[in-house]
Amino acid sequence: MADLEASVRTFALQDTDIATAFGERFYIDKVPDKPGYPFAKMSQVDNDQAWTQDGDGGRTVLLQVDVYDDDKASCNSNADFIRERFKGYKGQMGDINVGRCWSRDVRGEWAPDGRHFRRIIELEVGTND
Amino acid sequence: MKLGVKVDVSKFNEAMESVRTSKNSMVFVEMAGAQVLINGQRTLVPVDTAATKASIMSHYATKSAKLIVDEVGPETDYAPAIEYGRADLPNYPMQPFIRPAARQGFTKVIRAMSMRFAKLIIDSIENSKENVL
Repeated sequence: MADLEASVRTFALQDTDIATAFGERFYIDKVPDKPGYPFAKMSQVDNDQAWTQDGDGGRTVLLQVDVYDDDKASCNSNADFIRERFKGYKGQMGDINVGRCWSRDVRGEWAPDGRHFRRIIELEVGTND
Repeated sequence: MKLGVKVDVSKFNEAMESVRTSKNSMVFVEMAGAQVLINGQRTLVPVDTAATKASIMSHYATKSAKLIVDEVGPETDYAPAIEYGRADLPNYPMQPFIRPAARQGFTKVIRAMSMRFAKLIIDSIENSKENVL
């Protein structure tokens, strides 16, 4: 299967609101030092489970997108852009053919040590590849 | 010459009506599924002192004859950081184990509870027969 995380990132940044908010600060797995706000980090939580002992696992991948900002309202709105971008999407996402895509908010919090807000979005991407 | 199978379900509805669920019987069914999740989480959890692994267990929020709500997971304070990472440290190495265990064990949970529920039904039908005889 093609690089799903890269395809998801590219697809996200094709959205005008997301590109305007984050620019290139949409990272995969690792965030550079002092990236500037807002920024997002995407990590893969679980693999595609193509096949398990029970048979076809359905090929859905679970991704976690963390949105960081020093302003609460901005953090919430940027997270909503990402959630809306992926909610219910079905079609081509880069090199990946997506059968269905779900997004949901998990939790949000203020980090006193980091002095920023974080919102977590879970993306469940079902691929046909 | 013909071969055939005859299936008589004339007593099926009557038998199903004899099945009665109780809080204990529902817990009996649910425990099978919960144990699958517990085993899955304990397999996937990262281990240092094993405190989080040892704390993974069932936490019943609701128990009744019609509804069982069980929250299966660890009890250590830092378990959310292992699962979701830390808000103050974007590069904190999160190592999810609860969500992967739930996703990977979903089919097994359903099957385990179905088998327990089937046993419950069979036992209930057998007991009702004894009462009739």
